[in-house]
Amino acid sequence: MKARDNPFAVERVQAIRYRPLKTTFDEILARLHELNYRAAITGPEGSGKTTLLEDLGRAFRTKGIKPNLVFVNDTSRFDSPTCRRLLASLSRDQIALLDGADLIRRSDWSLLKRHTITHAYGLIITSHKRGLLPTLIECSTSPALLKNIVAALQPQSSLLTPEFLDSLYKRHQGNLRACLRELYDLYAQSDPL
Amino acid sequence: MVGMDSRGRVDGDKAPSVAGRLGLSLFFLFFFALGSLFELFIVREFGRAVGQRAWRKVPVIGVVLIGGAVYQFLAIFTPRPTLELSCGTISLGGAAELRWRVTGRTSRMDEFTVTLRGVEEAKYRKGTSTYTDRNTFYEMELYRTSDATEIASGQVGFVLPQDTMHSFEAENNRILWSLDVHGRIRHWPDVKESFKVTVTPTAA
Amino acid sequence: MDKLNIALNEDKTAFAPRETIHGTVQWNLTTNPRHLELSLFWYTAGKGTRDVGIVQTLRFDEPGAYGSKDFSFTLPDSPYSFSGKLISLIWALELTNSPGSETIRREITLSPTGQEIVLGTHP
Repeated sequence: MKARDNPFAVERVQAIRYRPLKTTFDEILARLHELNYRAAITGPEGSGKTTLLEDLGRAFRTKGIKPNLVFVNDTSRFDSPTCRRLLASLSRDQIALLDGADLIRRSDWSLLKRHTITHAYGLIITSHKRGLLPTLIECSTSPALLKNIVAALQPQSSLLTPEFLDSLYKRHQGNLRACLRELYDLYAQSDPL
Repeated sequence: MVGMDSRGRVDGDKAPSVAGRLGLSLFFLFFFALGSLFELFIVREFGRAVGQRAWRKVPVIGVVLIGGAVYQFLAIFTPRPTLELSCGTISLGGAAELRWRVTGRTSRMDEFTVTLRGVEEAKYRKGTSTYTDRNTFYEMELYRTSDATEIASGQVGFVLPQDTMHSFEAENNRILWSLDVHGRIRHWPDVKESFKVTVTPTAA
Repeated sequence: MDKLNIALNEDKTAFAPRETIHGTVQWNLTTNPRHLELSLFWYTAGKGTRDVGIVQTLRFDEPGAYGSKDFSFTLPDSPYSFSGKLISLIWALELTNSPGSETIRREITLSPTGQEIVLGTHP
């Protein structure tokens, strides 16, 4: 199967927005407002933290609040110069969205946390662990959520039985990103090009 | 992977140098020694208190470390290949000649192969991680020999297929071509080197 | 008529490297845009994060609410359109208006064979 035709291609997966399990997006926004736009999205890997952060960014844009989205990962380090550049660029009509706050140095985190109190509209982070900021939501997944997402991406498939998806979910310990990447590989191998 | 210069020559120096391999050997030995001391004085005492299972893994780790040290040390004496292409880049459908020279104790090599390989490489960045996937879409064995003289030096001509993809590099997605050398040596680390080749679009 | 349209001469969508694309853009909008932009670009799709390469952009200032304009782009010699297991590279023309959110995209193929290059998997 050609990459562009794969139902689990990155662009198609990324078009699936965050699907909260026990709440609604509006309730999340309401809670964020109560927390004065300073909060953390927590949860294990592949539970939708980054997706939710991006969705919040889009929601802010429609409300006229400018999101400033920063990703921290194994190839984009958040070092002190990056921290200083971010702080310099922030303004009171901007909300800082930091993906991977638990990966940055404690000193940079303290500086960012302090600075955004007075120099930004707010600060929302993602973190694998609690405690950096009040928890907005703890992201979680379920086998039903995986099936839901798979149905949206590939509605009819004899390959993807409920039992298969349950087993896939269990094997990846609830990491939906890993599940969807394995499904990509399955479809990539299934048909000759 | 090492890239070829504009004259098409590159030495097999992608692998760690002699000093590098010695350093790696000492590195493994150091951690083996550290692990052994840890096991001897601390884990055995602690292991008796909390159970045997955890500290039984330490000797296994020690074996791995000593194995790594031995491998790196032996690899110092592994023969080194040098490749030279008749041109710095090859176009799709184009022809090229490859020469090689292997220095060191080539008499111990019982098989030598050179393979031309085309690979798709896709990087996915999401969340706090980056994932890299590879798929080999083209593979052509250019040369295979067990003859010591041919292993020591030789040449082969080849033609790239026309109906495939040239080299391409973007931030996250790449098409990479390489000449992969594999020299099998019994009871010794194999020679494995990969040399990046630039394949250009079909010549106009 | 759709609000924005890209028509290619003779409906030709497959091009060889360095060939020139000839076509016409047409628009029929409810308000006067400040400008229209027609871009020639490639993008990737598949298992990796998307890459995009914008090759050339033509801008039509104060085009009025409706009209048409001829255009031409000379394609580069690469990258070819291709599809493998992990990566597809797709060439396209895209017309947008500003201000506004109308957009139309037309895919083309850049390849010496007239078709996208298909990469398999070597077992």
